[in-house]
Amino acid sequence: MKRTVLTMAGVLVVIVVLFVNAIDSEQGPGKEVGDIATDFNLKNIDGNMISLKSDENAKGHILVFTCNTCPYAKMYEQRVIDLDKKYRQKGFSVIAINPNDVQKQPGDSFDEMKIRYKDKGFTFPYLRDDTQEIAAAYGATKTPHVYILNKESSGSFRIEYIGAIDDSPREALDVQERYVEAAVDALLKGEKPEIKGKRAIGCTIKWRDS
Amino acid sequence: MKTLLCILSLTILTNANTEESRHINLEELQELYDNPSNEVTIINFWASWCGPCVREMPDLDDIAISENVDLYFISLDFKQDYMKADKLLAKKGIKSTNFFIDEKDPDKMIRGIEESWSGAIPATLFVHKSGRRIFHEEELSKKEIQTIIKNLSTN
Repeated sequence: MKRTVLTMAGVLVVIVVLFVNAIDSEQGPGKEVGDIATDFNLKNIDGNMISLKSDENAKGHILVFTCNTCPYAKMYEQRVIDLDKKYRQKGFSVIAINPNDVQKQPGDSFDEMKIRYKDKGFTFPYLRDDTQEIAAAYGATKTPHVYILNKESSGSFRIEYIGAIDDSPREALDVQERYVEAAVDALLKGEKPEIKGKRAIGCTIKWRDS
Repeated sequence: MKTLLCILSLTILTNANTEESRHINLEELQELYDNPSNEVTIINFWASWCGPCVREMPDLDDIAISENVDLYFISLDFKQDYMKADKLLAKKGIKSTNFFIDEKDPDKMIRGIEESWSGAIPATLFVHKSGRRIFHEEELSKKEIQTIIKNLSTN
């Protein structure tokens, strides 16, 4: 009897370990272009909860995983504001999500986000993904990491582009290719973006230690 | 006058310690690990603005010296920061070679190195002389580096 119990306990431990490993590795793949976007319900710096359903008139969204602290993300702040200014009226507003673990990166705390929002004059929601579940669900790995979502007649949002904003992180003046603008322009015309993904260097998302 | 001379010689001395890193293009970089001279070749991608990168570099450097490993640092710094990067290497006492990569198209570079790489740094590529490779995108501890090298060499 004792042995059976021990064996069962052993099997249980193995199952738990396998299960935990499976969860861990699921952080890798995330979403691809063509997938339906995961909805979320995250707290904005003004205290309100924001989801993909918050703006009923949205034709889509430019979802940006970003933060206060990454030099690359900072270089793109003004360009993200400009994207919102250009496309909000047309139905494609920006939603920014900060997924960094506050223990590892205190500069990304909710209070610091409020300060950043005000200082920079963000015109879009800046949400805190405290559990990091949304960043993991999308497979975001770095800041900035952009997902362009297009609303379909069913009301769900489909991912049509993943990756970089443009081809010149350091110098906004040297930009030759505006990937996000090109993709949103195509979607507004009812077409699929020609370029569905471009990679750029960024800062690793600071995942909390499990 | 004496003070001026003193400052001048100090400046010269400090600059002498800071070696200027060479440049490399994508093809040359790929050759580094396609034709390895050692059991394991490690390519680490970093930048002077990346805190976790700078944190893990001394561990990589120590391991490369003590084990049968060739280590190359590839700086993704912007042109304006080349001197800052070289100074940082000198300050940290990094002995392994650092290169600045000359590739204008980041997407081409990222995919050229590793298809699964999203572009986040730090990122490290470990290549065994047999061609087996392990790619890691995130900061590494000394223990993790040693485990990856061991796994590559024994499997």
